[in-house]
Amino acid sequence: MEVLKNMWLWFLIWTIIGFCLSLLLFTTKTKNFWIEVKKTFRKRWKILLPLSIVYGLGAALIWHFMG
Amino acid sequence: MATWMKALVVALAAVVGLVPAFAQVSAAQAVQEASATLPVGDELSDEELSQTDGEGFWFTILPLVTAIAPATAYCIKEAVEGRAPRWQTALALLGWGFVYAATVLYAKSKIDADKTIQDIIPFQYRTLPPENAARWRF
Repeated sequence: MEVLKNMWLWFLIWTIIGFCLSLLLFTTKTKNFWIEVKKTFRKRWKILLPLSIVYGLGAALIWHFMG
Repeated sequence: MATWMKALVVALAAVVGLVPAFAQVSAAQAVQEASATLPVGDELSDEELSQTDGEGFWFTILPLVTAIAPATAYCIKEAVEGRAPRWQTALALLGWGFVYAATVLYAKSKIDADKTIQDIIPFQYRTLPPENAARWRF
């Protein structure tokens, strides 16, 4: 459990979670859902990555300094 | 509790309340300002309508999961380690999650509005440079 106290690990975890959730949110729900997810990833990663980095950083900072 | 913590909690609560309201107004404005005429088509029958994929559930659950996840994970982690979770931290994480979910939905609504406008502009006008294309009214 010691390793989980590392703020940067939490930053990484929340960035990945934030990226996945926002990718799903950006995806139009169709029958070929996972093909659509791949298309959205290729098209929108440039906007989703900075957004999820800010999300991960915010969550990790709050967790680290207030937790 | 330190003053800055109180200020942070109040600021997050204010932002959570205000961001979605502004996001909806901006998206609606973006569509109105285009002053484009939507193509007229036949109405879907009840049977066809029942076969369409509903996105309402999807766009309600996902932002909620995004918003609640950090606060829930924090509470679980504290409980596992035998400590009582601090409500200030849980509230701040919850607020941060809502801010993120609102921002993602706002970005999506802006992109969707732009895409819809692009889809209904006739093909020949799309090839014009943007400064000329902006003069056209549909």
